[in-house]
Amino acid sequence: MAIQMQSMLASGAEHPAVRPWVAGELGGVVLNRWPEPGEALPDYFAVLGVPAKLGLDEAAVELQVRSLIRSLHPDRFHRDGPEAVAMAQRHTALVNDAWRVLRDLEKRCLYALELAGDRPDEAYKPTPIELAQTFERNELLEECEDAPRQHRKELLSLLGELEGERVDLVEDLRDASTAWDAAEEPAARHQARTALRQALGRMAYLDRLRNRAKAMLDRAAQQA
Amino acid sequence: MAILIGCSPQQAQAELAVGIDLGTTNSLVAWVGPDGQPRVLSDAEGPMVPSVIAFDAQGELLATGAAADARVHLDPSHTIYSVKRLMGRDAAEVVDELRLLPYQVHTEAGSAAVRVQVGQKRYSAPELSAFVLRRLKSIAEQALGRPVSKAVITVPAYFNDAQRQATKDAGRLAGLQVLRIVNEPTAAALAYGLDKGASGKVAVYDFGGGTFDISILHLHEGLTEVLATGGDTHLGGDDIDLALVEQLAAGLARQGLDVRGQPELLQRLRKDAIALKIALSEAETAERTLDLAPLTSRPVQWQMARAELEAVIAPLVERTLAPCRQALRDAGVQPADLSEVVLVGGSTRIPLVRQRVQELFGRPPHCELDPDQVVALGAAVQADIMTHSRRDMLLLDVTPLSLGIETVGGGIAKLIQRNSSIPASATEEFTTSVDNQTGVVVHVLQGDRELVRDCRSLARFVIPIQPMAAGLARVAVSFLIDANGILHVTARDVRTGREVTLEVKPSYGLSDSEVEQMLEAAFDNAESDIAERAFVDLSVEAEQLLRATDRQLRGPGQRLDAEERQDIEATMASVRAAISTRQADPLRQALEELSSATNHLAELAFGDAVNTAAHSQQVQAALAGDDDPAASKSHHANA
Amino acid sequence: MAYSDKVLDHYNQPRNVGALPKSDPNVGTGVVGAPECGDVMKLQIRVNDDGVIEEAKFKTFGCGSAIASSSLATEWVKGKTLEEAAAIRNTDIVQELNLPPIKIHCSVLAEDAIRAAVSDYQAKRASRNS
Repeated sequence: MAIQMQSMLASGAEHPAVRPWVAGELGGVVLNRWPEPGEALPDYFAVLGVPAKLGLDEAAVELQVRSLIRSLHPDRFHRDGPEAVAMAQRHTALVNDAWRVLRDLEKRCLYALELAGDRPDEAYKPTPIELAQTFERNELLEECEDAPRQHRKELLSLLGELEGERVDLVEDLRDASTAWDAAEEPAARHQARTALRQALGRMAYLDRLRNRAKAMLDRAAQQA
Repeated sequence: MAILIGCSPQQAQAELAVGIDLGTTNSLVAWVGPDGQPRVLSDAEGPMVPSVIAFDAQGELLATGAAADARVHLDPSHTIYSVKRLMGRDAAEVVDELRLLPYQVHTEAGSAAVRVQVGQKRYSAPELSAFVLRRLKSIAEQALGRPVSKAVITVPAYFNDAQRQATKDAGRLAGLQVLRIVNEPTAAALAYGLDKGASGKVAVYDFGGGTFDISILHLHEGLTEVLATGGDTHLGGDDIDLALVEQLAAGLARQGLDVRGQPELLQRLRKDAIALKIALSEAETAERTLDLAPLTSRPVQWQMARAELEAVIAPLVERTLAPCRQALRDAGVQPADLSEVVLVGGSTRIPLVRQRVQELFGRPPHCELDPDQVVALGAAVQADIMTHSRRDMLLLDVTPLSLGIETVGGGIAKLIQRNSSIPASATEEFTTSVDNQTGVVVHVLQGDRELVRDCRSLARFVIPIQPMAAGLARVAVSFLIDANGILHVTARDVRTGREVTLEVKPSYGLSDSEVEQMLEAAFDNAESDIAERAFVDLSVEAEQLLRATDRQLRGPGQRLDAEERQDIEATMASVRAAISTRQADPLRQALEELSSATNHLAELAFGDAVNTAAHSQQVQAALAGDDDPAASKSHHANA
Repeated sequence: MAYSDKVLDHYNQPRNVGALPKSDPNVGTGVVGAPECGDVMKLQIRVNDDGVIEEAKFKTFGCGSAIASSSLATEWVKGKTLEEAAAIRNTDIVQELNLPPIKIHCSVLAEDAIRAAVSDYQAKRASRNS
């Protein structure tokens, strides 16, 4: 077990973005990085021992996650007493948490931005036109609220529009994350972050509308 | 003890952990033996223990299992069944259940969890379940001849935190360390070893005594993901039995025999219906002699064809199919995507059920294992994995419901989404919004609806904060769902790194101190428990002594005279009789008698054992080429 | 209860919901949004010749805190001069409503909305005077 963990240490060292592990012994298993007391946002890339890149090889990371869970799962430590089980519990949770966030492009991008720290100058400010459009769409949904079945056509056409825009936004997000990974100069990084925030911000707006529209169509289907 | 008993020290020290299927109608206990095969453990009444607890008029325990089940109709207000439906729930949630249950249920101030009133006593659902668990524990101890202190207990996949916690509390109250709470469908998959195979999606169709559950699982290399669950909490074998009784009653009415308003007769008819149902799973027609006293003293021969049975139960079987289709839809899975279908629950023995399941899922279901036992067997496998730290297998479950905290206007901020692999955690930072605020109230909920009122309140707590300017305090609260699906909350002061003590008040379950109190109470008035315990220990000893005596009577015992032999056989019979009384004192006395009666036999056996040992050494020496004439002589002398 | 009664009061009975004629020269309109949670908020003020806000209306699509924040904002700006209104800070709203930290951005949105409405009105006046 220790050998396996050492090789992970080595792989971490190849990527300067990965912070060094904090050693914690758990039944002979050396842990990945464990968040410091009070650290609100653990470094999930470091926890899993993968490079802090948005263009993650999801299949490879999944294998890594499986192997970590196999070593750290509390069921393995049942014979080592309640302390070890509790520790294994927290560590496995951390690995699961990391994977839950990193396996999904959107969550991964949001998380990376949060990890990089809040930069108000990069915050996404919707344009007046976007705001007006979002407001109008909300008003349309509000009109449909009471009788979704009678407004099925409008709802379907709105949902169609939103889904189409979403496909474009996912593309934007991919482009922005590629730019983020490649950026070395501060100016390029700044630009990549702004682009990420913009794509994510637009997506948040859109998803809110999309979920409402979907919920109403579900209700319309139930009424039918 | 005068008789030599063989038991390797290694075996005696090995940890004993069992798997328990704590069912709505029946419960079972299973264990994985040294051969690695899981098997169900049973006593003379058989492996299925009815999940029924009978009390006397004062509310003191009378019986559990089959003996209690027999009292359901005799003394309905003191005979408690279907406790599983009450686990971790409050009065409002069980309103519909209570209409169907003949006993009294209350809520007490300060706790939303329901209590069952039996005579002068009030029992919480975990306390009641603990009676059943204690029975299973004792069955296992009798069967294995050793104390059992650890268990894996199964729960339905949709059980929330409070229901899981209540199940764990029940285990603790029964004197069991609960190693894991495992989802029933996951246990079934584990029993079939499906987790070891390649990745695949599995449907687990569980048609039990009182409930129907369908689960779609995604298995990959020991990792189990629950993709969807569904079912009907009031549809099971009991409904089939009831429909058959009605059919019988209608048939008898045509012969001018009105059985309505005859509770005891109806109870007998129910047994007849069950017998017919079981027989018709094998044969095309079945016959039964009905005892219709006091309506008529003349026994009535009744014949039923499988087609008739199927016509009666077809609507019930049909009702299981809609939740299956819904679960497939929820999981986003086509029947063709499924690699396996697993049957659980006694009702799946019915050929019509198998046929409809096969039609729906488009593949023959797994039914190699006994459907009544498959969940308990899976739980035993998990217990074995955990006690032996088997590295090749690991069961990973998911949380069935999202976890969140209340936000303004009755909304919920979700912290951990449903179907997340567990253990899972989330950390939220809290601060104060006004100067000198001394606490922040947090309300934790579980559920997947958008509004607080549609979700399940898990706990409330106040984060204590030193008075200071608004926004200065920073407390990180970490919510952890453990491998059992149970929530743990801890808090840390972000600036000092110090742990903040929280008093988390569970909304439904028992608090830790309540469980402690119950455990203490259990020790205080546990005379019956202690007596039971003493009996279990003695009976284990007795079984071993009887086996050993029996063996020795056939060997060296042949050299005893007839009188001695008779004496031993008589004392053996009285030990067997004492075991059946389930009382410690007479058994202890009988054992002492047997022990002294076998003194001579023990000497003979001991002498033989010594000689055999010497003999085998000589044989070994001879085989090794050490040709000692004395050895060879003694060899002949002994032969 | 995790939230103050004031939040619930403003959420359950929001004050001044509605719209003012956008083209009215005495009306200033501010539309702002918080992309984090998809909220959009429209706040309008009608200003008299003395530069005092006579009337305020809002419409918010968002969570309870956002609705309560904008409802409170319309209450507060009424009777205030433009300068006084623009001086309202989100922290005042947080304090009044006892908002939890995860909902602070809702109060920021309300502050932004007031300022957007004020500057819209001022821009209108400027173009009228020029």
